[in-house]
Amino acid sequence: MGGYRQWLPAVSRLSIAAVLFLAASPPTVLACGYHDDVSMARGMMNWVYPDALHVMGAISAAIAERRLPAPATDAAPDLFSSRYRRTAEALEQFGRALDHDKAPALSFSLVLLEPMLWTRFEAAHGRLGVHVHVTGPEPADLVLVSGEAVIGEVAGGRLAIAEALRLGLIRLYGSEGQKADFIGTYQSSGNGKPAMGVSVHQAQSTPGQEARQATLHFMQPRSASIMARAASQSTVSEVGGEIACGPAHH
Amino acid sequence: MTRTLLQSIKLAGLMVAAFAPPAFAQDTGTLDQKKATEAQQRPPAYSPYVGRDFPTRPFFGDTHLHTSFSMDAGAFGARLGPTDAYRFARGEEVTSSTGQPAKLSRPLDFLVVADHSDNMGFFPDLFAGKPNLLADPTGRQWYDMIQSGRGADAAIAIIVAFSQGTFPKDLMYFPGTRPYQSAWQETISAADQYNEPDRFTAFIGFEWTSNTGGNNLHRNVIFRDNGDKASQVEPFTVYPPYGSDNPVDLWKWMEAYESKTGGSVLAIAHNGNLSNGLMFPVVEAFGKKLDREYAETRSKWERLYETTQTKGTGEAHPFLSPNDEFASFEIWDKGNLDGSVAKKNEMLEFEYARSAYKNGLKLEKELGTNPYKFGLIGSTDAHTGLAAIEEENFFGKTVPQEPSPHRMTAAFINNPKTGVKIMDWEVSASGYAAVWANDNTRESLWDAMQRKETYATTGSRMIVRFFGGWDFVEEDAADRLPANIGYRKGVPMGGDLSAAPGGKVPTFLVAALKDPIGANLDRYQVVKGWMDKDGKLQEKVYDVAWAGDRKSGADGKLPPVGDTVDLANATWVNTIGAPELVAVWKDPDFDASLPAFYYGRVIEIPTPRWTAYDAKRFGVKPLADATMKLQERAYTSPIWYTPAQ
Repeated sequence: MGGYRQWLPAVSRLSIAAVLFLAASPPTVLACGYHDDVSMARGMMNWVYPDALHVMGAISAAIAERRLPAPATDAAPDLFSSRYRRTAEALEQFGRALDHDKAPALSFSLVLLEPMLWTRFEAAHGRLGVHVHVTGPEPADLVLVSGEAVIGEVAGGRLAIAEALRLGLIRLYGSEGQKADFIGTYQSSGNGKPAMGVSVHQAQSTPGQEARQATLHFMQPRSASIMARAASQSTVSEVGGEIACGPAHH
Repeated sequence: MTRTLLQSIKLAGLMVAAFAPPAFAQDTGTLDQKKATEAQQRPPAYSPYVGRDFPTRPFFGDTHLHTSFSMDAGAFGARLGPTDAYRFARGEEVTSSTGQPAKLSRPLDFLVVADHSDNMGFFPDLFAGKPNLLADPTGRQWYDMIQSGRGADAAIAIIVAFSQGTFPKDLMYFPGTRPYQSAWQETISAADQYNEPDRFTAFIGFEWTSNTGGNNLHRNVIFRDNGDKASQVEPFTVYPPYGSDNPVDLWKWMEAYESKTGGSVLAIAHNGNLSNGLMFPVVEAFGKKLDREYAETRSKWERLYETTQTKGTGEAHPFLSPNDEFASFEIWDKGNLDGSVAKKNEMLEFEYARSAYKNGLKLEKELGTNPYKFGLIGSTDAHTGLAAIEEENFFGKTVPQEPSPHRMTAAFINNPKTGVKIMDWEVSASGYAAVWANDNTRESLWDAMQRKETYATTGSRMIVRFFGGWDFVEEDAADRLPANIGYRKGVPMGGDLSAAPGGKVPTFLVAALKDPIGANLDRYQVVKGWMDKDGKLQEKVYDVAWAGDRKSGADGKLPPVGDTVDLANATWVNTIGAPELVAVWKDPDFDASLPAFYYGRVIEIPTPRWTAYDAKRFGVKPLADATMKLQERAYTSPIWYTPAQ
């Protein structure tokens, strides 16, 4: 009890300070302590793109059924950003997989839910340019919501876009016309044909791990992704947990 | 020490048989000679159930579940609201916020949707485009961004507003505002809609969320009443000027509610393991020295304590109870709720139930009232709308932790400044509240909570009885109607014994039946705490019934029950343990002049933890330090002994 006696006055002072702070500081309306911005950004996806997180459930089911590879268990820090590089490579490969058959006419944005990483696929001059790590979708873009393992499988030619859509591994958000265009153009992409310049080994590498390895890279972003932008303007003390593109939190 | 399966089935029938209860539950009261004599003089009838007026079955439920109406749950993607939560708890299949079909192995009997009272209902309203939010320029802007396909930008704007403290005040859901009232009414309506007396009880409730400095002092407030009374008030909140972070002010609010409506409310203190030494103060609280009024008021309103939930178990801690080999169970002792302050050992005494019980004895002597004379329950504190904490059916604490291979390796709390890091795998698939009520109604269940005739489980639905009295004899344990004897000769969990009759010592009739679809039982223990003649607080754990013919070693410890867990396949077999444990135990160390408490702890044989099920299901390798199996357990509310004055 002695320790408590000595310790409590300090806490009381902190409490008073905190109460004063709370009066003018709405962030603490988030009552609990697991509030890193990546998780919050991901959570918001479920509202702004209704049921976007159903992709996570679909991925979990696919992994349980061994349709998708399980993420590697590796809690070690990625000091050289190799995870990010692998994820970026997988996205480039994904773009090439889509670009394989036809001259694309539709630009769109894709978000990988685990790291909340946005990538824009821009149709121009008969090619599909890939811009990894953008701030978010362009206005009126078709938005694809998916996960790392899905992209890797499509890029590796082991999963067709049509199948991914059917299984809920990719969800589309946009106008009906945009969705129809996308499906019409890309539904057979990823079906048994690895993207050019992509080794199967690379495509099979563990996307979950890759994204987590991207953490440090994200900590010094060249441009801000949705959560990086939010976190870069936040007070760390209020979010409590990891700032900016922390490890995947699913 | 064990009985046959047939016997256990019979006993189970006796323990759960239906009967016609009185309209209002009895008080467990204090056993005295007059009461005992009257009970034993009752003329016998052929039917052993004639005149039976005590609870015959425990009702299992969750007193602490969040939905999308909670600000944090909504922010992390929870889309299920109160109606979904009640439907799921009743046994219906629902789709989780991550799109996964979910269903309980068995329906629960009751549920309290206890959303955070501050900003209740904000997220569903914002994204539904409620007029009050659209009336604010910022709210309108966010909504329009979402509708025009710029949802990602809206999300950024909202996150930034939260993080920078620039969230528009006009968008805050404070009591007294129409949108707040609307959210509260929606909460009430959902409960009233799904409340079905004698089948499923949907309580009206909320969580008051005092969290100053990251120290968790939350309380769940549960109404005995229907919406006609609950709707006369709005929940008490934390943020001034409408609310307060001091529990004393919550108790004033509760008093005011009862005065205004004639209704009844009780509060359940949140597991204190993340309060960093503030949940059970012994000197002062919020700058005020503890006094008799504090003790009486707390004791009056805080009848129960949440001793186990997804954020760990708070019955005992190995630092405080080094001789208790079962104390280290699902422990969270790294810091406070947001990890902003690391834990120190000196904080632990004021966070755990057992030490609070002990300190309560001391405070009673000093103040005249024991402020920590609470009963025990477990609940989920899940923020998913899903009271799903079965190990093989665990839908996590928050939406990001719904079933996924990533939860085997992700961090749950990670505060780089303090180094406090808690992993997702540490989140506990726990717990439920078991309530010995006469029937499944708001009134009957609430009354049972009020009289503390409850026990906590870490998820198992084992059936546990715990009676204390002066005259239990060994033959009572052989009777197939232990509750008949228990209520006739003693008081149940939550009750009191006082002023030991000359030469007598407390005796306890204990009985436990395994969860019908769960694991066998390892042992039934009685945990005793007392204050000795020198005013020092003591504790001891006694093994009083156990499976098999194990003998205690030289250290007085019973050997482990064994282990049949097949981790690779996430399964086990009931070839060890016992389906039933019944015994009469007499305190061998009793001193009639010393105050004491006794509670039961029933432990199952080892079984796979949720991490083992997930490892198998998803084909992932767990982290090296991840706990993969556990021994589920139950903790009864205590029976207190008070010496003659």
